[in-house]
Amino acid sequence: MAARDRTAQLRKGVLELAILAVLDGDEYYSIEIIEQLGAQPALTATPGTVYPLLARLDKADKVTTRWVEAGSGGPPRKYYSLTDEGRAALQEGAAAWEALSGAMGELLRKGGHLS
Amino acid sequence: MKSYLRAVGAHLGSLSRTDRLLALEGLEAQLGELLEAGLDPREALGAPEDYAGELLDALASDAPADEPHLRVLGLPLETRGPVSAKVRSRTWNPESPRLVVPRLLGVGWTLNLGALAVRLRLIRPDDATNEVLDQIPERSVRTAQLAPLLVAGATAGALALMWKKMPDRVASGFDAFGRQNRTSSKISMLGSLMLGVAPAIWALRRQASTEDRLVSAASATTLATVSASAVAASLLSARGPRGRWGLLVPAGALLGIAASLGVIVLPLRAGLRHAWRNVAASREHTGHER
Repeated sequence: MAARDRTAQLRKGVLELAILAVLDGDEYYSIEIIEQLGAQPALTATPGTVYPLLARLDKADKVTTRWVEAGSGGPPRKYYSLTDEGRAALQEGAAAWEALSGAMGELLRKGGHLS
Repeated sequence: MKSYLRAVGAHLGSLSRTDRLLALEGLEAQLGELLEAGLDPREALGAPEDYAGELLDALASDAPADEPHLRVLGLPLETRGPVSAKVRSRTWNPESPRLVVPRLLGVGWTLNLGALAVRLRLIRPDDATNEVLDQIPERSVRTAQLAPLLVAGATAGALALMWKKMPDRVASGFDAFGRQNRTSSKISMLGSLMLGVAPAIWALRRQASTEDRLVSAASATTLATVSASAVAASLLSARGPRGRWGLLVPAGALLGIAASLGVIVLPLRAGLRHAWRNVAASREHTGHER
C-alpha cells in the first residue's frame, strides 16, 4: 500500500509530461488519453486526475482543442493536440526527466537499491 | 450530468471568469464522453467538491502570489485582487517576512498583515496552517465578516443624521497639516461612504475558504475605517473649518490596520486555542490508556 502511495506521489509530478508525450504526433480525446496512459500500469490515472491536467495544459496554451462529431451519433468530442508551446514544453520536460532519472538512478544504484 | 456540472461550478467561485468558463466547458465535453462510454460521472470523477478542488489546484497560477501582475515604470500594477483568492492571500502571509507587498488593485504597495502580526509577536510564522484554520469556530468567522459592515453602517448612519445640516459644499481635500485645501459638492461624500460599504458587503460572502473570508474581512475593515475617517473629517470640517480634521485620515488608516489585524488574528487565535486543546485532550487520553 505504501509503495502504491509513493508511486502515486511521484506519478503526479510526471503525469503532465506523460500527457504531452501521449499527444506527441497525434490528437486524441480525453478517454483515449486515459487509455494510453493506462497502457503503462505506473501511469494509470483516473478521469478525475487527467481532466484537470488537460484544463491546465489548455489554459497554458500547451494544447489546443477542436470539436469532432462523434460517429456514433453521441455528443461531439473534444480532441486535444499539442501546440508549438506544448512541443517545446515536452522537449524541455524530456530533457529534465532524463537528467533527473539518470541522477536518481545513479544515487539509488550507489545505495544498492537498484541493480 | 447538468447537476454534476452545476455542483462543480458552485465550488469554482475563486477562479477568474475566464478560467471558470474554460474548466466548465471542458468538463461538459468530458461528461458527455463519460456518459457515451457508459461511465457514471460520480464514480469516474469523484464527488463534485473533490473534483472542483483538483481543478482549482490545476488552474492555479504558476506565478508566485507575491509577484505583481504587471510593472509600470518599475511600480507594481495589479488587477487580479478582486477575482483571485491567491492574490488576496498576499496580504496575509505570516510565513513571508516581507512587510510590504504589491497592492491588490492598482499601482503601489500594501501591507502584509501576516508579517506584521509576526513582528508584533501576535502569532508565530507557522501558526496559520490549514489545520488551525479548520479549527476556527464559524461564529468567529461570521463576527469577523460583520466587523467592516458595522463600521460602514455607523458611518452611513452618522452621514444620514448630519446630511440636512451640511452645507452644499464640504471639505474633500486636506494639506499635510490636516487643513482643508479643497471642497466638493456634499454628494461626493457618498463616494467616500461607498469606499467602505461596497467591500463590507462583498466581505460577507460565505462561499470561500476560511482564510479568504478572513482576509477579505480584514481588507474591508481597513477600507471601511479609512472611509469612516474621511467622512468624519468632512463632517467635522463643515462645523469647524479651521480645525486640522484632515489628520483624521492618516489616523484612520493606522486605526484601520490595527482593526484589520484584530479581525484576522482574533479568530486565528481562537482556532489555535481549539487546536491546542485538542492536542492536550488527546495527550490526556493517551496517558489514561497507559
